[in-house]
Amino acid sequence: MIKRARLTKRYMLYLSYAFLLVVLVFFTKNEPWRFQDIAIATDKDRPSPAILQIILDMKVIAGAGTSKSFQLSPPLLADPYIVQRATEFLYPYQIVDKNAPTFAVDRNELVKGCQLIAKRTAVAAYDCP
Amino acid sequence: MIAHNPLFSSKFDVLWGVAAFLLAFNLLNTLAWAFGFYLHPVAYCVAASLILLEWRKSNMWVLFATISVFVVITLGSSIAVWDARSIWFFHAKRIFFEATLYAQLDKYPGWSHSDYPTLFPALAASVARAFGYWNETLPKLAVVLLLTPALLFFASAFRTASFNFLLAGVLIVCGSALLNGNVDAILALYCAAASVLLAKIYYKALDRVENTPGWYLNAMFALFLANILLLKNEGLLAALMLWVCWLPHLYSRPAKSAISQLAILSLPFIFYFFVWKLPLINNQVTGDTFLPGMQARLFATLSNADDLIELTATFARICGFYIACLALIVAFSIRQKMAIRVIPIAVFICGYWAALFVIYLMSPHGLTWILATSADRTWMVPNLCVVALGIYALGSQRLEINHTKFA
Repeated sequence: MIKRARLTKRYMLYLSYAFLLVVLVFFTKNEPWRFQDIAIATDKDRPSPAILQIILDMKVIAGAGTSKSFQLSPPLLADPYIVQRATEFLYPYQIVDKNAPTFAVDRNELVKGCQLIAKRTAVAAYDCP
Repeated sequence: MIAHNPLFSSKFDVLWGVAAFLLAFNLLNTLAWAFGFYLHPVAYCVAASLILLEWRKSNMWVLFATISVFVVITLGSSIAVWDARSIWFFHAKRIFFEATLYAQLDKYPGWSHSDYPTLFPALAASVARAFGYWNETLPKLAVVLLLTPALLFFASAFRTASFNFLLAGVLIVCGSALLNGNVDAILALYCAAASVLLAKIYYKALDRVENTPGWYLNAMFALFLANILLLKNEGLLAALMLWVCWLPHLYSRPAKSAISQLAILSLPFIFYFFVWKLPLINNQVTGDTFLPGMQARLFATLSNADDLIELTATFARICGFYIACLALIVAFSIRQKMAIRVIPIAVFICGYWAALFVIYLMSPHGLTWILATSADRTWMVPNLCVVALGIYALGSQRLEINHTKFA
């Protein structure tokens, strides 16, 4: 009786190891990670795939200037994805709704009289009256 | 004394102590940020590495290997999902740059849920501070750090086979939510650990074999409650329900002991109130669940057959299997005369299922949208508790039989 209980216990142990191993392998396979990305994990400016080029460009422009807050042009403001990613990624630079340089993809999105401050491939910053 | 206890082996005392230290570290780190300081995560890692002192135990190697896999996955991916980006890591980024726990209380931006507690963001900010800069990957290590104390507790509470099955259960139930930067899986794991502790407390309250000192169990339970409270808003619901389920065991205690235990278990709520709730009240920051018109929304959803069917169908899809499992566990425990350990946790789990059901009925957002974006995550908490309870009930049953036979 005791021998049988010990055998059962041992088989349960083997079964538990095998089950955990299988589950762990599937879990690892399903996770959205890449082995080569580990090498760049400590990069200071490593962006997430969730960040669009336009947001990266905004960060470069913000980093080069002196303003601590920025506005978005009406078409950019209409896109919640851009607004949210810009708010998160640009911080500590803040996205506000007045009295700050404005990011726009095209000058025509803005009122007349805006002066170009800086320009990157995907976006530019303007000083508007 | 403890060595005679089949449910709590004295060989795992180091793990128990390390888990308690890490839970206390989380709280102290949150408190430190409230005053503009932080605790260095190296202390966390050094304490966690003490588990290697138990290198002879297979639980340790399983835990070590699993945590290593978690670290690799975390470093190989960046923050992607909405809640993680726009709530948890954005709050962490604000704490990191503003050097205060309360940076988010200025309600910038309006959609970032400024009322959410900051235990996890504070730890992520500490990780970033330890490296000296913020990027989109390293703060995610806070997820693994936060998972560690609960996993350590399980490693100490379960024998090898049970622990392996439990780990597999955690991976299956939580899936991609475990490491994506959301706090739901961490909350689920902490609630599951607190549930197992609750079972041990009840076992101790009536029993012949559980020799672990009562204050030991209660202090650990209090540490888990304090962490649960500061993890998520749902944590308040979970902690209150766990506390209510814990109360009846005082009935069998002498008055002096009951009062001291009650005092220990009130500390997490006092800590939560002063560190988080009071600053929220002072800054007039409120959540979006308990807004005026709750009752009207509740009756509106109840009177809408389509909404009710949709909610019930989603609940049945996510929780149906676990409800059946819980019924089997309760039936099994009654048959084996160990219902006293299982019933309080079953009450907690059923209460949590029901409370979330009612909260969804009162949701100010569209029911279809809110269910699609959150139901899987929120109901994960009671579902994981069912898994932990099932493994605990089956495992402890086997241990008790062995104890009776061979002791």
